[in-house]
Amino acid sequence: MDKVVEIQNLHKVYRDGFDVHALRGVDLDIARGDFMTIAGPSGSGKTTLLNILGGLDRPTEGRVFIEGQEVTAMSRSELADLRRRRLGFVFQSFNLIPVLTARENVEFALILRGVEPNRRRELPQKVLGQVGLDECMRERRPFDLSGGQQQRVAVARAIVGEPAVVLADEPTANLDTENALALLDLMERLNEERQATFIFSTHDPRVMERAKRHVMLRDGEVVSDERRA
Amino acid sequence: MRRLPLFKIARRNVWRNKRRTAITVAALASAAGFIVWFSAFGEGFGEKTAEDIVRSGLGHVVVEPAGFEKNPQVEKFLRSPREVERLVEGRPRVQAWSPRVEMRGLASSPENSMGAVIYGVDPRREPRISILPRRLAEGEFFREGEERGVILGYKMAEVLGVELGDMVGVMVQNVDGEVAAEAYELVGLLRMGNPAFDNGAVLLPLSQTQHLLGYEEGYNKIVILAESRADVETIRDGLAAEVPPGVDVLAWFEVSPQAFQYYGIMVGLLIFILLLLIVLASFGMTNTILMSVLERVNEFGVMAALGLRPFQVFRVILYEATVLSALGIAVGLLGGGLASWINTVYGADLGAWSGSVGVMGFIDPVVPFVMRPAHFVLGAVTVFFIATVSAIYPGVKAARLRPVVAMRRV
Ligand SMILES: Nc1ncnc2c1ncn2[C@@H]1O[C@H](COP(=O)(O)OP(=O)(O)OP(=O)(O)O)[C@@H](O)[C@H]1O
Ligand SMILES: [Mg+2]
Repeated sequence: MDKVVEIQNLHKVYRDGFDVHALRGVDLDIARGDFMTIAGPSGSGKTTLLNILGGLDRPTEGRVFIEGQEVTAMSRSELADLRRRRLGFVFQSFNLIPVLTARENVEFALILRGVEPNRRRELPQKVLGQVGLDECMRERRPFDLSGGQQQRVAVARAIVGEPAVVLADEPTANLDTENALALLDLMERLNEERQATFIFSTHDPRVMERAKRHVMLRDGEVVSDERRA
Repeated sequence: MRRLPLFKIARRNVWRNKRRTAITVAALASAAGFIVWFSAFGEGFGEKTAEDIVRSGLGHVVVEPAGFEKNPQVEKFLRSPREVERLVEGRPRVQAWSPRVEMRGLASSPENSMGAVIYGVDPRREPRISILPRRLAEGEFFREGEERGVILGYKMAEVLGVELGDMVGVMVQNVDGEVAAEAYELVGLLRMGNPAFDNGAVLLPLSQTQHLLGYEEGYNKIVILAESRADVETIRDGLAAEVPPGVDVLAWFEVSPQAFQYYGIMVGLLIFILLLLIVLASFGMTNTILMSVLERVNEFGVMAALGLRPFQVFRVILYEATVLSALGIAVGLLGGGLASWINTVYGADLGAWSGSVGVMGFIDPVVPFVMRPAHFVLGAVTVFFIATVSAIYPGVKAARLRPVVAMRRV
């Protein structure tokens, strides 16, 4: 299997007055093109795991590799480079830069990746079309878009640069069922079309149903890891 | 090459909180405007101090017996002034010159008597070097060829209780150490707006003072007016090299060091106010920017998650400050320029503080401002500096926000 992400014995202890052992020895290999959810009760360590995967936070112990590079050994600016080139993020909310329009937000990710100006003009329109954002919405700023529309823009921005891995932390948590399902359809489709690896955390049973692979965390440990046919 | 739209983001961020932007811009504009206005005032003040002192009879350059300035004794006078006059006459950059006698003495009326500074002035030449002849509240200045009469400071005349046509006694110690006294008809009242003159000046025709003091052809000062203040040193140094021994050549600021001191005080005050302004404004602005950063922790988290380097995040904050300062500078220079311009036309009337202004040797209490491009540069640079310095701490703070911490504030 072509491993995109390799997680070895990951521990995270938050020292915040008293110690919180948020991750207790997580080992996971994630294949390219996977579509995977990480579920678990609140406080089980989902966000912590995603943050460390994305180089947004550092583990107390253990190692993470993305495409063979050791994330856990990188400097701040190497991490910034990694995020810019190989990762896409979708968060629960507040995903977008408020002063940039939907299109500019997507284009921003491309500029960060050093994409040449011609493609920078076409690609955002194309991808925003793929995520189903009406043309008339594309020059609006996030404030003037609904939550569902904002999340679509966030997904468009996360995938437009063709990252190796898209990390999404409860991307549907703020959406109603209809919008949540639409977003899932979208990510599923993009996963198939582009072979992008999706890893997202969720509580949501509707989301878990759709995943190819389904990991369950409890108290910072992997308690089940199932693959669907 | 990719160019991140960091400046665009900063520019738009500035417009997000219009109220805060308006307040910040107003504060920066006030700083810039005040600097422009106050510099123009300081410049005008300095110019006026110098010009008033020069034009009230001190001149730009003075030739006098050695040591006269420190110790103006009656025995010190230019015995054969023709030699020196020849050096001054027709000299390049000399606009005009006039001989003078200056001596302390006593003025008296039947009612009263008081100490006075007696000026012996050349009726023909004096109008070319000073404004004294044009500052008469009553009566007329001395006429050439008709060397008679006395002119008093108008307040002195009040104290002595004399009016035009009355006789005024003038008493001095002459060159032989004897008391010499003479009575003159009061022909004019001097009103300079400067207490030193109005309360204590006695003007006599040069020939009368020469006679009184026993100087014959001699006198104790040549007062020279240069074509411009920039020529002062040239004239002084040139003359100093040529005058015979026993003669001093002094520039106006050496004769009247207090004028120079006021100028120094003014510059000192300006620097002090500038520093105070910089410190206060920087604190205020650092606070404002920091507040705006803390309100946007999420955004900086998003930027970091997208892979912006810390320095790029820092630049967003720096650019925001730049935009604010550009707006503040534009408004401030315009406002400050306009205010100063009004004051260059109408002047600023310092009459309210005339007590202290009088001491400064002002002829009248209206100070016309003097504007220079440098004042605008100073205003702009200072405000730009304030804004930039104020952005550093909040910018570092934003850049250091670890994305995960930032994202948790959701
Ligand atoms: N920055 C932090 N400082 C201290 N403790 C933290 C911090 N972040 C997370 N924790 C703790 O670590 C544990 C795991 O938190 P985490 O956010 O990863 O859980 P989660 O599975 O994402 O929960 P949720 O479903 O509520 O989002 C929790 O007990 C949480 O309180
Ligand atoms: Mg979470």
